[in-house]
Amino acid sequence: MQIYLPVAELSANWLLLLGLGGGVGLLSGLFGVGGGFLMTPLLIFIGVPPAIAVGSEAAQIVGASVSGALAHWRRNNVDFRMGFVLLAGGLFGSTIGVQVFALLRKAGQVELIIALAYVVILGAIGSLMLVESVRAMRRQRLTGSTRRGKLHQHTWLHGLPLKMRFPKSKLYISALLPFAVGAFVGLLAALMGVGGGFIMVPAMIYLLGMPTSVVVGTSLFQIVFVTANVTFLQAWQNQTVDMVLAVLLLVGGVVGAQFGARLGQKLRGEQLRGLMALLVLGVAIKLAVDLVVTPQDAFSLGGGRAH
Amino acid sequence: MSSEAGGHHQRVFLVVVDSSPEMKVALRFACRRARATGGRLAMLYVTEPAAAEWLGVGEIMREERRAEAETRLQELAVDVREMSGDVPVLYVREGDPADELLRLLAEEPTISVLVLGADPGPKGPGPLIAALSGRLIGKLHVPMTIVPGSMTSAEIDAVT
Repeated sequence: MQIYLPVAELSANWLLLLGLGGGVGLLSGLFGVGGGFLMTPLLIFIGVPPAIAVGSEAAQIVGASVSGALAHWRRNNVDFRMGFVLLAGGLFGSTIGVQVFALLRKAGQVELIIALAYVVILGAIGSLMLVESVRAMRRQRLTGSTRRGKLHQHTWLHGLPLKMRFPKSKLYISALLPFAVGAFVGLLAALMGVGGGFIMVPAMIYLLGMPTSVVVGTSLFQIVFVTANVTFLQAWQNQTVDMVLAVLLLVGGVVGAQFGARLGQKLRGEQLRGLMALLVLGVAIKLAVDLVVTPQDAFSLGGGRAH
Repeated sequence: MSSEAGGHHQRVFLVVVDSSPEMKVALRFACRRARATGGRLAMLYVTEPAAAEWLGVGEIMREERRAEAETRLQELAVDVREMSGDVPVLYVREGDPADELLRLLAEEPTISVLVLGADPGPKGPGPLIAALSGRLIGKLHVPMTIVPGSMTSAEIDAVT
């Protein structure tokens, strides 16, 4: 059952890796969002070095996103014009991200930064999701209706230069906006090994004002090429991509996502979202605790734990 | 909905709305049949479930899809009124089309006939007819009329 991961330099149970891929794939199929945010921390928990977890997870996301992106393309749900601007930003952000990653690695700080980034982002997203699902459950009990979100509010963001027309999204906005969104997500992709749909999709809706029908397809289109860029650069510059690991996770992930998507059609979101929020928070807390506890373990040679 | 006083049962023809050309053919057939038999039209639009559930994204998706569904049904309702002489009953549901269709039929015993258009192409009649004439047929409790999508308006008018 053990398989040697050549780049991570450790042997792991391949069934466990398939199962991890499947479980996270199921969740991402269910919620329509990225496995990366959960998978990278889980890999760290089972002992994969954080830098390798980040690089290999990016490789897995390339594979996992391709089929989704193609499906949305076929259904005409991709705004390519917007996608290319997001992608330009993403390539810029991720290329810088990989350089930063290399510098941090040289300084010996990359593991700390990865863990901190995850604690901050997972903590924030988990808390927001939890608040949201509690509120939604209460509201449903009271009225059964949802609030009206207001799109297309005019702010200073609409005064930025380089305005561009995006007919498919029915928008006329500064190209700097999607470029910046893409760049930020690209940076996260490089530093954290995530696709970033988790952040990009809400940003596309609230910040850019895109119609929801093209949001998921367009974000997947960007993710495929940005994570491909990250994989290539991480493998080339940092040697942190373990393809054996990535392929095992991918196989499990593809199967899991199929089940998740089908299950998602049958189940209602509220309770599930609450569970997902708790899971995300749980991972953030475990990472935070490990950050504090590990040094104590490192000094207790062979003996019992410090407390 | 209409009453069923005196045991009089108004025949209700249900058409499932999608973006296919054969749906329009089925709609025309159902309208003509309803007019001829003193029946009424009902239309079901099944929206896709929200693909994501966080930061309010799911709610906005749901709202936009529902608004889209309502606009489309309102447009078609104008045609229906012209063709059948009566305003149709409109239903909007969210989920898997076949599941939601069966659920609606179970909830609304007033619906008496299901009218679906078949894709005349080589890929088969379409997912709904394929499912309902296959593995789900046991769950269907009303007759299903299949209208070939290749029929012209004149041909439909001739048989109704």
